[in-house]
Amino acid sequence: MGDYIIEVKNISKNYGGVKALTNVSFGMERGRIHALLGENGAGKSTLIRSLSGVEQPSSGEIIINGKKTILTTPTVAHECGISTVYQEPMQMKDMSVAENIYISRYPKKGLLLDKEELYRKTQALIDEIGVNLNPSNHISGLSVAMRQMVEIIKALSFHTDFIIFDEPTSSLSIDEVKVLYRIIHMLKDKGITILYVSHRMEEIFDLCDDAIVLRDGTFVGKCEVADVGSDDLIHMMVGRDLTNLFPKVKAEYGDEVLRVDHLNSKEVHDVSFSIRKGEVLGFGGLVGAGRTEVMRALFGIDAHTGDVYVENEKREIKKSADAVACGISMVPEDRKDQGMIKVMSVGKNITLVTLREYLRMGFLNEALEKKKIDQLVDRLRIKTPSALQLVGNLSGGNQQKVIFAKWLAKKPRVLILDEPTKGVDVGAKTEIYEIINEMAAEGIGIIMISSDMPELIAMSDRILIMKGGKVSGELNKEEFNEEAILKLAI
Amino acid sequence: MREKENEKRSRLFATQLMKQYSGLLLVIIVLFTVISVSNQNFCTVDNILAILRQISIYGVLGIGMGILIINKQLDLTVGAIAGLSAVVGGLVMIKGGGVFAAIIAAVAAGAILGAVNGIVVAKTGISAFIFTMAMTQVYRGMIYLITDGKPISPFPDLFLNVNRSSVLGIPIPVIILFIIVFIGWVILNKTSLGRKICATGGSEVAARYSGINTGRMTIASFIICGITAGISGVLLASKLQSAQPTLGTGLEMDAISVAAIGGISLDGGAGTIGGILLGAIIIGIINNGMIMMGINSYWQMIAKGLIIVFAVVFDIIKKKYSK
Repeated sequence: MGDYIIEVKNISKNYGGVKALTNVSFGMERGRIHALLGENGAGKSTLIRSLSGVEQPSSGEIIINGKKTILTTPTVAHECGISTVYQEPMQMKDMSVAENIYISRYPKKGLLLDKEELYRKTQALIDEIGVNLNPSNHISGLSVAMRQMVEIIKALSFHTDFIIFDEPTSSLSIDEVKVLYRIIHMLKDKGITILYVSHRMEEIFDLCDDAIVLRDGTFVGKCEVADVGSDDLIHMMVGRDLTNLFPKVKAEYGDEVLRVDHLNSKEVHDVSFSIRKGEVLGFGGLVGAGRTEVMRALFGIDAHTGDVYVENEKREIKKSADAVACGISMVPEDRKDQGMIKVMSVGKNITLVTLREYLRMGFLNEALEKKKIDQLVDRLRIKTPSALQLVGNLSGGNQQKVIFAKWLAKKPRVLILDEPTKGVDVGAKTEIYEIINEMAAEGIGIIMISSDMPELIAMSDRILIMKGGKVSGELNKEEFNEEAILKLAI
Repeated sequence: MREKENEKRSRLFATQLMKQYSGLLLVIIVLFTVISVSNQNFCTVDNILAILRQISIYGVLGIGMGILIINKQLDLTVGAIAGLSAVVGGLVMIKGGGVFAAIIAAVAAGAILGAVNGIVVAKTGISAFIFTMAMTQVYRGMIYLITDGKPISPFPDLFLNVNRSSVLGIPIPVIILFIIVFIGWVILNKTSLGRKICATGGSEVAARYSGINTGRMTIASFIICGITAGISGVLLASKLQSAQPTLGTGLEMDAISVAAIGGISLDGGAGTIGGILLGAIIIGIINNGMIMMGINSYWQMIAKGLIIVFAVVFDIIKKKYSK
């Protein structure tokens, strides 16, 4: 029995008939960094929501500092010393940093608000963690990393002693991750206990003391990170061994399928490259290096100049419809807002770009559509109760598979993948890599942006590295290593 | 064997229908029972046809508005478009252009004005609410300029017959309503245009990332809405036997109410034509039933408003529950 700051006892949570958590019990020792691991759908989010007062468990107890506590709202959780830093913090974007931190406790002079005191208090907290922020900055002008810092400062302002980080690094650059690490260590030194959720295995080993593993809504185990290897943790998470995380199969190359000459847009400067059938061309670089912007221009989302040749034929791409017409397809970075129509069903999302194929006498033929949907759901092993399910209700990995299915239906010539496994759990990741292999084997030219270094190295045949909107270098398979990529990226 | 399967399928269809429209059907059943008990003349074939005739105008417009709202847009000019279409049709008839030419001109005017709204909204990105609110003044002003503030009449009998004649006992406006309902259903469920309109309304960004020309979808939905506004202008002019400058004033609110009661989400992307029809029927029953029960018209306004609130809140609760 350690000195637990928080202990959960037999927590269960049901949504309708679905059990998100079943009898989960564990304790977290004071002053340590605990990792919370599990595949998507394992119950991590539900557990976090229960601990941060967003939701109440259906049954079970939460014991804080030895006292049974019912966390009815996030405010109650704050008062009990629990704060949460989300991946994309929910903030009032048009207000200042200071106002976001003190909105409910604005310092006053009599009846009037005391802005000087507000800024003074905020500046003191900023100095405490030593980041480059100004209390009067507007949230809308800050990067995601800085917005997370604001949340951390807010937590400190509540004299918190327990902070939950929910996948904080998934949209941070390498440098920003380093700053975050430093601050998390500093919080630990202050005696604050951390619960850290991440899909990136190396972060667990870099940062965390203990690992708590959930699977299918149940508690699998808790162990000291120093005692285990990444294979052990993966085994606990998926319940089986994943012998090969990156099942890369090199496809046979065909002719050149895409050539981009002197592409320029607002954020992209003179980018040229070409790709052959069956090749996987990786795009490395820091977040903000202009990789996504290259793809946005190529796909006709952003205005641009420069020449695009598809199978040696010059094509004008003024809008996304032009790109799709010449066989370019795109799985965008922001799955939820760019990749799928959340309010439409799995089936309708899958057939969205191939509607013309299901027309009979000008009208959509349900049977033809259904045949295609069933075939793709089957082929990509999309886990859904039915094709009529709204795609917004699926897990992240399955949503991503639906987006792949949509383009697979089209049989594209070029497939652009922007962070294809972001927020996707380990098991589904491997399945997505297998899909990439299959598509390459079919002769599709694949462009893959990835900030996940092991993934980029394992899955690419060639890597272009970008920096400041320009291509800063190109590496062939035999030259791949993290250092070489970083050198070109920074 | 096959009969069994057919039976099974039709039962499945029925349960799905019940599930989808449970709230609306419940409201209709309750209203029907309450009013029938208090007035025996309510539940007669004649009266039901009278209700359907009453709802035909805003029912037709509700279909167009519903499709536009599914595209996550809104058009407040439809009342003025109906008015302007009626005036255009009226002028054609007065100048001796014939009834058919008049109707075609009126519907075409609706389509063109819808297209103007759609093109400006799609190309400039101005909020449809603000833009169409302003354009209502413009279109209404044009009506007064053209008519010099005087009603256009008289119309030939053939035109008046649109409103007053029946085919096989069913009034022509009711037939037109059902034709429009059918066409709306086909567009939304059986064409790629309808599917793409849903996608654009569901998420404009994601639709664009799927290679959909979202601007074109927005323009198309505005045109569809404008066409239905033109048709309701024709129906109104035939009913009123003249094209008055104020024709169609406030019609946009009826159309939006019908769509909202029918479960068309103002967040875009979701809604059904069947829902819109049921929404129109609910408003029709309230109007007709309250007159039959001798309730004064001020109360009718209050009741209509509350029913809209009830329908939308019910929809929200249902969505929360199903999650």
